[in-house]
Amino acid sequence: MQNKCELDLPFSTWFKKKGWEPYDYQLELIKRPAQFSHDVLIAPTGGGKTLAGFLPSLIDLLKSPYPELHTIYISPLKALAEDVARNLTIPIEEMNLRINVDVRTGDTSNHRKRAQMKTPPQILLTTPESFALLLSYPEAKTLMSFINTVIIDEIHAIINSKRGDQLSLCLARLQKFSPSARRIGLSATVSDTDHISKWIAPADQQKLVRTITATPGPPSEISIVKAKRPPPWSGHSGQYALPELMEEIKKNKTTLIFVNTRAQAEIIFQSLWELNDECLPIGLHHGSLSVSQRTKIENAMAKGDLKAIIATSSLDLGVDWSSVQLVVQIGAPKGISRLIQRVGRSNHVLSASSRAILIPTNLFEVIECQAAIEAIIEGDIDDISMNPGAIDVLAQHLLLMACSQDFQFNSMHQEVSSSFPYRNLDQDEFKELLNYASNGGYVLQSYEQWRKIDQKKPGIYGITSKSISRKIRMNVGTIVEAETLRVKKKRGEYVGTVEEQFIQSLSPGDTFILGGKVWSFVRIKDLSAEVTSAEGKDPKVPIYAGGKLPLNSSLARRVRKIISDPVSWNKLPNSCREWLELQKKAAHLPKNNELLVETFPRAGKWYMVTYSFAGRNANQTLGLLLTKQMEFIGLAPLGFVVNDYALTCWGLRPIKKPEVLFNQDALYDGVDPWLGDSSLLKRTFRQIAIVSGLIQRRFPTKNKTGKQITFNSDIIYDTLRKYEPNHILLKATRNEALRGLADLSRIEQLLELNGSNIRHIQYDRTTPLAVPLILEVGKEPVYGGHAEELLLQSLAYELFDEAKVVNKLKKNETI
Amino acid sequence: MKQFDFEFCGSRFIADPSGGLIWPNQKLAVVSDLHLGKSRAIAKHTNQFLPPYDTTATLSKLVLLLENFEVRKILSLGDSFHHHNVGLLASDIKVLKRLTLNYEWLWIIGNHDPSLPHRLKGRYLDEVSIDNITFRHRASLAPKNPEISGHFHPVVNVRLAGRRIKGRCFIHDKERLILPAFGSYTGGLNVINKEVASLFLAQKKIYICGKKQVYEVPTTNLI
Repeated sequence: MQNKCELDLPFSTWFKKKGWEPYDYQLELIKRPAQFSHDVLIAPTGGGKTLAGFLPSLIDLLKSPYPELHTIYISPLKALAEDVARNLTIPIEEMNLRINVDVRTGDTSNHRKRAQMKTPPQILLTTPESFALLLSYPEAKTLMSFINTVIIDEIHAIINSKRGDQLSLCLARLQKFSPSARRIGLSATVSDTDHISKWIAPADQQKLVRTITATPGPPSEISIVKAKRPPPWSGHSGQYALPELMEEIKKNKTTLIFVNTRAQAEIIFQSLWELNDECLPIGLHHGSLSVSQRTKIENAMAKGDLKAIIATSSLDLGVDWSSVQLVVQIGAPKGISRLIQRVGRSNHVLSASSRAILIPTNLFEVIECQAAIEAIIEGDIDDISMNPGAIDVLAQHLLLMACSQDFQFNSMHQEVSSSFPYRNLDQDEFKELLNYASNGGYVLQSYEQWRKIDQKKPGIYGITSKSISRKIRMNVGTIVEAETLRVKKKRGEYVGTVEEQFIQSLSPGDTFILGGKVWSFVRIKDLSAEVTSAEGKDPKVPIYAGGKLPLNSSLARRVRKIISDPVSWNKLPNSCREWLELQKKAAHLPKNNELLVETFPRAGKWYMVTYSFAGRNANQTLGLLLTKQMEFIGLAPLGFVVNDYALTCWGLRPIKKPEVLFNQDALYDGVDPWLGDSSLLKRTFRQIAIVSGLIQRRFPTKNKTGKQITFNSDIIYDTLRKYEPNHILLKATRNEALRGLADLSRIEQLLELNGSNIRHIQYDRTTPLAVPLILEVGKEPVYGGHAEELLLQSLAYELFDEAKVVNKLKKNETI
Repeated sequence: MKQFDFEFCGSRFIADPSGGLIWPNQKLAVVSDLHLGKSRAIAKHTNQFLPPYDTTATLSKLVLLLENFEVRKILSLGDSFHHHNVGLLASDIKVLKRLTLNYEWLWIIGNHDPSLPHRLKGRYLDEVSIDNITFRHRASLAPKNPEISGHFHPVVNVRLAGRRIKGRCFIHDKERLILPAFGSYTGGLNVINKEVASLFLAQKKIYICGKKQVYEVPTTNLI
């Protein structure tokens, strides 16, 4: 590069001492051309990216002493913030710079937080939630009026989520206090740069964003495991390839094993230890383990004490471990970005290529893994649809900001709509939302006397009391977990968390695994589950909701292409190729431009399998629509199950003309009341109700149990739907839940081109391609609006039959 | 809709999916734990603004119940009001006052409503006996006569086709009957909880309220 910028002292000598050569992008970021106000740096993980983000601030702070808060760094993970703080102290101490760095997260003590307010550090490291909370204090304005730089780390993992919406709103507020603050976004080499650069800047500064892209490192070596045993038709355990995995663990210095769900992590951990004859140190890390346990594992990993670690997305981001030589992904990658991110966690130095092995857990996943490998080689990126900012997050934000200071209606609306996700929010909607935040926003104004936000002067709004501020701050956060219970030993030692529903399925004495250990359930006491250590055989595995990411559409296209093209099958393992050959011979391979629908009878019921390749969410929505339609037509649907590639609906009557079911007008006709009853909408409403403050998670005095929240939120939802169907939260619920419909547009396109794009074929038995999905029936929950009532009716019949039998027996006795 | 009849202490009763109990021979409707005014009480005490339609919803459910059966008397088993100091909206009071004029009301005193707001017509009692059955808010530990009560808001979980279905329920053995809560924002206590379970003999029956109908559920293997 010509005209290369050089590092000044003392940085140049420090780099030299370390034996490092500054990367081009590090130097690039130091330069600040006048035409740019903000930057996005796209660089591989672990290539000095974080340091690059801080260098401009360190240099600036060296030039002139700064008595105020200069730089705010925001990380999606608490642990990452702590880790970055440690790493940042090294250059500061070694160069003897007079710069104070401090961390503020949910784990920071109140004492330390108060001290930060009094004497602010120059650099503050925090998370989106703690940043929002900080902004809700009256002192925020003084503290944030001299901000020079905001660094947003792992920005690709934050945007396009509710946390991203919240952060974007908070940046808009900061903009008001420090109008010239520079925003630097740090992203892995994975995502759509265009989205990030739009998101990072205020609405009127979209053109002032510079994107710096680091030269990519050598390509990764990714392969599918070569196992002796074939992968099963369905399931998610990956057991068949564990002997080969064990061998790899032995061969490599450290192996990082990623799985998709916590249940998978527990099962694989358990099975690996059964194969672990040499007692190699293998650890387990996931979000339901206690913090102390996770920290223990992280520290052991940092010291290089572990040979392997099994982790969920809890380790997707952040902390660098140089000893990792191999990354293993068990289960489908689901998206290209995520796989690249995970693969990038091995050989965490830019110069060395990373090595990864994929272990698909069933036949469909084999194809998906092959598709992902090809996608990475050919440089595909995931399709991302940018969603408009969430209404519930904005409601929470307005309440938090009202806690900090009174605001004027118009200027707050302007501030909010300067944030990218909320750029299209009109004044009416904003007014409706403000009204909701203040008194619930009901037509029937019955809460006027207890409102949270008051109009103090015409157009000026503010919080009504300090006690309300306290409640609002206690309920900050945009992630709503399923209702969980803490699992504790008798002496009170905390083991981890499980979902309440799982605990309810246990009787005292039942065993389950958590954190790789077997526990025996004793009782529920004080909102936690008391357990004792146990040795039990066949312990149950807790199931955690969520965690099932839908297949990205870009990857889905490749999966469909591979299936439709027998020439490409030579890259697939034998078992998978044989399966596809079987389908080719006995049935029909779905082509690229058609929607294959198979119907066949099985065990007295009639099945219809639709190969949409539209991802789990879209398939779920389609399943709801199709079963609704089946009921309208009188086909007596009993349920449906989905995976990422297809869905199957079944009922009591044969489906002779699927084309009728897929008729678009009919499909959407009458969909509202039907969907309104679905558990999908009820779950979504619960989250929105909690985030927006309709239902409080925490009270100053006591913790409300999750159980009450679920129960109430369903009833509240039903009541609201009946009495005020146009309420803002119901609109938000519909919009959010029906995002799956966006993915449906691909199916629609197929249908629209020509009605005959549906390729319906009737068979007399299950086809090879349908087997994996049929095997899921009974394992996956049954969906459908009126399923509960139908199931209850079946109960009535059974009892009736039982009664008849009992009566008969009695009669016989008397004779 | 199929009507759900059952026998308790030699009399025929009807369990309605609304949670109401009908005693046809007495032309009596029994409801429990209406918790009228709950959303307003919650708003006042916690600043949570739940949709303010719970009282309206509860009262219209009651009106519907009364329309479906031939009833002259209404017995409200206590906790009729969520909080005795928080009043109802004028429109709801109007409906309630009309009901108290058209029917003979018996108000049992509950723990939430030691006194009733809005000076409503009817008799106010700690308990009352009709035809050898005693009606009280909370089940007594050793009742002399057969008794019908409320208070616990019983709910039951049934596992069907791999899915957990939860619903309000009636529960009874040969001498005790507990009604589900009739009010719309009321939570529930699982019948396997000791507080409820210990009140009943092993030989008991549980009827779950579906959306359209009441169903009997097996009493073994409850979760």
